[in-house]
Order: sequence, then structure tokens, then C-alpha cells
Amino acid sequence: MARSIDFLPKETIHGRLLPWVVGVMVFLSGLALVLGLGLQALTSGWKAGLENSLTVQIIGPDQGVRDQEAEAALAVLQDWPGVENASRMPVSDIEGLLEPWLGSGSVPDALPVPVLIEVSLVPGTQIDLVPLSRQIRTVAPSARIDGHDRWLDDLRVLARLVQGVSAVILGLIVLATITVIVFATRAGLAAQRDAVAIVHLIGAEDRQIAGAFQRRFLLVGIQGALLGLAGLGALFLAAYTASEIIQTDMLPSLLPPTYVFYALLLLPLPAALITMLTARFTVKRALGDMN
Amino acid sequence: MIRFDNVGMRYGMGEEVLKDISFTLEPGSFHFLTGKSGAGKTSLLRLMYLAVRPSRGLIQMMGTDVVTAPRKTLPELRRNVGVVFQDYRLLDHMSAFDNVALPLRIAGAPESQVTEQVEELLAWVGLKDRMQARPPILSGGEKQRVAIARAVINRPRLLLADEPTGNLDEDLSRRLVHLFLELNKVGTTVVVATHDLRLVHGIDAPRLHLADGTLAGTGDALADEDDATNDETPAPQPEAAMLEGLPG
Repeated sequence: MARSIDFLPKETIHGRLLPWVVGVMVFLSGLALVLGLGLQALTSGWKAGLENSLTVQIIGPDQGVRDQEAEAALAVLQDWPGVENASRMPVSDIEGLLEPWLGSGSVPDALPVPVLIEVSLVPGTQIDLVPLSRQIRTVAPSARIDGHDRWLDDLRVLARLVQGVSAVILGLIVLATITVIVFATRAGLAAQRDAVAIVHLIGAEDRQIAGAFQRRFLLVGIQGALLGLAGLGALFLAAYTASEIIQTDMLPSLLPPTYVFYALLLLPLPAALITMLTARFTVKRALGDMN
Repeated sequence: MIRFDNVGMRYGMGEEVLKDISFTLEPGSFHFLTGKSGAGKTSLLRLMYLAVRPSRGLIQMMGTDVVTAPRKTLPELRRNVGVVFQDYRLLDHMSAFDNVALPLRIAGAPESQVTEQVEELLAWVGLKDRMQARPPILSGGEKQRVAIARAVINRPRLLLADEPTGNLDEDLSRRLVHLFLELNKVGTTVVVATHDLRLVHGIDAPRLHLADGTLAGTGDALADEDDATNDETPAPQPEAAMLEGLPG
């Protein structure tokens, strides 16, 4: 059984910049992953909050009408099949929702704040909103029912779009990496043509020759992946620092969820595999063209 | 060992550099391959060490039809062929030791065996103290000896040498021929391409003589007319000159 041989010079055969190029690719694919997985996590968080719930808003002109309509609407909702619970949101909570826009404790009495009724549904039930809203409208004409459907649909579309875009970006990065490695391997092969020809003539098999190149490019992949991860680490550190400084509830966290970090830590594996296998395939193909 | 039958060879769309070559080399034989520069000696050797395939004809080596043999069967055949290239073709970034070790390592020999055999052979060719030197700092003669050591380390069944004495002084040439003869005695088939007529006349061995890409004749009774017109070739010397220092 012929073993692999290292007949290539110790010095670089692919140029010193190649690990950096792979590093940039790993960095970019990390960003694409964060974009895809991170935003998906964010939207699914929102979705979980919105699914199985309804909001009824009562926007009557004066407080008396609003209270009266709210009582009537609550009565309808509590008897409606599929409704688990319906309750009026305390004024303090509503003011809390307005706080980011109006500042704390500064909701003027003259401002007509609508009544909000939060409705939670029995998990897994689908309620047809048309008859429900018709029924509520008869007792509370200024009621508006928000099933969050529009939001949920938009979020679903957004999540899918972002996932699709990041998948396309990832695909393009992989293609670009393969192309770069093919060129680098061909250049290395051309530079080492004499050495390759000699070992070929003294009986080396294609896979032994390809193995020597493959080992070098595996190293390139690992070096590049580490460089890319270091870049991502620096970026997240910066994002973490920034989110500590900004301290706001208005913006979602700038940091992706933990499992995205684990996914990023796995990046060296595909990076090393792609560089290694591309080099192997390129060399074997080039050798196949030789006699 | 080797059978050529109506072999023709051309590079690309060019003219045939070898035409209708037919000969048979018996196992354990010793042959010279002679002819002017450009007569096709190197091309014929390239066919024999399987660097190229012929454009036409049949070549059988060690029982394998190399014209139709699948590519992946060739490495095994090549491991049975030792080649001393005219320009040595050593790997400059490797030490003399590693260059000579290459065929053994390619064949998968254990490292202990590699060390033992390579050290022994390098000592034998007088390079015991130069084992860790790289080719760029070796003299022409030293490089040639490394190249020869690499060609024979695997005890090939067929040894091909392309102008092996081209860069050697007379004494070294003699030792080299001695080595080839020794290998031949233990069963290696040897083909030495040369236009050094001192070498040819010093040894009683049959010749394959190439002229304009065709085999002008085989056997040792060939006239030297063609060689006499070769300005690269010194006048034939008495056989005794070459045999000096050889055993027996």
C-alpha cells in the first residue's frame, strides 16, 4: 500500500496571501450565517409572542364610551369558543407601551388612550376573525380586532427572504472560495511542475501527488478559518460593547443567539474540507491530463 | 523485458521523431543506445520510462502492453524502472538523502529500511559526507551520483541512463560503468544512451543505433560510419582504455 509522500518544498506553494483570502471568505460566510440564523431567531421570537393571541383595541371618542364598549366586548370574547382568556390591559401597562415615544409619566390626561384587550387563545386553535369581529362590532362599534395575521405573514416572508438571501450569499462565498483555491492549486502545480513530473516518473501514484497538495491546502483552510473566526470574534466584541453602551429596548439585541455562535465555531470544518478537497480534485484532474 | 513493434512517435502534430522502431531486449541484457544528437535517443528512452506513449505501434514492458494499459497501472511499472536523467532532475529543495530516498518512500518502504539502504548506497557512491547537502551546492559529478543512486535504490528491473557520463571525468565514468555492469550481473536490464564512443567501445555489449529516428541496426557489429561524422563524439578509443579498473 503506497503511502503519501511530502515532496513539496517547505516554503509556501500557494502564496502567503491565500490563508488571508480564505480568512475573508470565512468571515463573510460567518456574517451571512449570523444574518440568516440570527434574524430567523429574532422573527421566530416575535412570532411566538404573537401567535395564539389577539388584540382588541377600542378607540371610542371619550372614556365613558370606551369603558362601556370594552365591557361589552369582553363579555362577547369570554364566551367565544377557542378563547382561553380575555382581559383588559391595565392603564399603567399601556402607558408603559407609550413610554419610549412619550417619556415616562408624561401621558397627558387629555390624550385619548385606547383601551386594549389582550386575548389569549387555546393553543393550536384557529379562530375565524370575521364572525368574531362582526359580533364585537355590534356591541362595540369602535373596536378594532388585530389577529396579528398581517404581521405574522410579513414576518414569515421576511424570515424566508433573509434565509434565502443568506443562503445565496453563502453559496456565492463557497463558489468564490473554490475558484480561488482552484487557481491557487493550479499555480502551485505549475510552479512545482518539475517536482511533480519527477515523482510521477519514479512511480508516484496520482493520489500520492494529490495527497501532498491536499495536506498543504488543508493547512491553508485551517489557517484561514482561524483568521476568519478571529475577525468575527472581534466584530462581536465590538457589537457587545456597542449594545452595552446603547442600552435600549427599541432595538433588538445586536448579538445573535448562542446557537449561532456554535454554528460559527463549526465553520473551520467546511472551510478546511472545501480547500482540501478542491486542491485534491484540481491536482487529480491536472494529473489525469498528463500521460 | 521490452518489446517494441513498429513504434512511431511524434510530438503534437509534428513530424515523427521515431519511425518503425522494432526490437526486443531480453531480461538481464545490457545495451547501448547510440546515435547523433537529435537522432531520437531521448525520445526512445522517454517511451521506455513511460513518460510518453507512442503515436503508433506496440510496446510491451514486463509483460504489459503499455500502449493500452490504463493510466493507473503505470506507476507500478515505473517503480520497476530506474532512470538516470541527462540533467539529473533532482529536487533542489531536498537533501541528497531525501532525493535518493524518494523512490523507496513512494513505494511505501518502512523508514528504517529507507535510512539503512540510502545511507549505504550514498556511502557506496562516495557521498557519505554529503548526505544532507542539497543539489544546488553539489558539484555536477556529485549530482550525477545522487541521480544514479536514486535510479538504482529500488533495485529496478530495468535501468535506463541518458548520457550518464556526460558530466563525469574519466575515472568517475569508469566507476559508473562498473556500477551498471554490477547491476546487470545481478539481473538488471540496462540501457545506456550515449554518444561517448569510448564508453561503447570499452564494453562488449550490443548496440541499438538510431539515425534520423529509425533504428539503423542492432547488435555489436555495427559500423561506426555514422558516429564518425558526429562532431560531438571523440574518435573511438581502444577498448582497453575503458576497461581499465574494472574487475575481471
